[in-house]
Amino acid sequence: MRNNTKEADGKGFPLRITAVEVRVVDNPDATNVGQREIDFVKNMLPVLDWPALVQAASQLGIPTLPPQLTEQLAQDPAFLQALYHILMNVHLVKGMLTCPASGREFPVTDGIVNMMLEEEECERVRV
Amino acid sequence: MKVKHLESALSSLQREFPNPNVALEQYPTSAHLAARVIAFAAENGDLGRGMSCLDLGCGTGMLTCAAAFLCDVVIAVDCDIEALRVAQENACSIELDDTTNFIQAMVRIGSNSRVAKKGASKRKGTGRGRGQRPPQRNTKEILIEGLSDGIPMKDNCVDTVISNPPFGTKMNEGIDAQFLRSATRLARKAVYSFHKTSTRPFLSKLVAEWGYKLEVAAEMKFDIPQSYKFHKQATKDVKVDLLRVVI
Repeated sequence: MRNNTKEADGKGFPLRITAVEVRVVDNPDATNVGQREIDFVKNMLPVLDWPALVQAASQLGIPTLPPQLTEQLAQDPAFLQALYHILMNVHLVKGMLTCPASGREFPVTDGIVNMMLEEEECERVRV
Repeated sequence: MKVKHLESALSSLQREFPNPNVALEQYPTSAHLAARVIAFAAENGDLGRGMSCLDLGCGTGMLTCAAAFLCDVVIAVDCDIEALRVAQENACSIELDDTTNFIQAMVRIGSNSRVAKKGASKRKGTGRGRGQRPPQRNTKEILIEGLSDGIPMKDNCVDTVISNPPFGTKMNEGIDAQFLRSATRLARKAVYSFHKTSTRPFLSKLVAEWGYKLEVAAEMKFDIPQSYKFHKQATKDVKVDLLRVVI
């Protein structure tokens, strides 16, 4: 369950993360994050909901993202490398995703999130 | 990545479902087919580095894993947790578990929701006069309006959606069109989806009504093996289209 939450639940975005077990893929070798990865992150920036990402990362035990994404940061390769690591290497293994609007909980077990809805809930899923 | 190499890498994966569920039409996608579809999508610029992909109805993850070789992000969705676990193991076995994400969710909620649970017995009747559910909206209406699927993700959230959906042959009529509807709303660029050739005229009209361009990318025969004891023949040849919808 990757950090980059794209899920939406009607008006309930972003889902709140209660992390019980998080797996961080070790990436001590900084050269692993090359230009391709930096370009990928750059492409993702317009799509990211920054406040949601900051909140999600913090809930996964990474409170170090800056509250605002400045133009300067967006051009900084070191920052982009670190961001790639946060986006791609942090996985929620066990925990809960909770809709802030309805309180509906989606359990995460072994990295798989259960989002099976009941019929009545479907109408509200649309964004 | 060469198609043959991709196919070779995929052929080591576990294709079979541990306990195939009749009602969900679970059967595996071959390594050969998965490799060819993904390579084709890549040629069209619909899959590749820096891109995201969603496998709708991923089953044991053949298409998921194929896509994970080429894409940066793959989201695999299926309603069956056992199938998802196999898909996850497959992704781990080729060390692509960091780019794959697994979500248990259902495309069509409602009349079909009970069949996803293991051991559900065959329903008698289709809800006429049973009086317990609210009246079902006409399937075609739902498909054209594009409302109410059970996938909790925003419209246009991934570049490409790939799917080998159930064909609607097991008391789940219309599920194939529902899958296509969900796929087209989730994708930004393109959808690649397998459907019975016999449904081509119907789906062409639907896709046009939704406002997209449809291509028949390939025609083939699916050799659906005898997964279930009641199959009379050893295998069954079904004529299938690979549809490409440009969003």
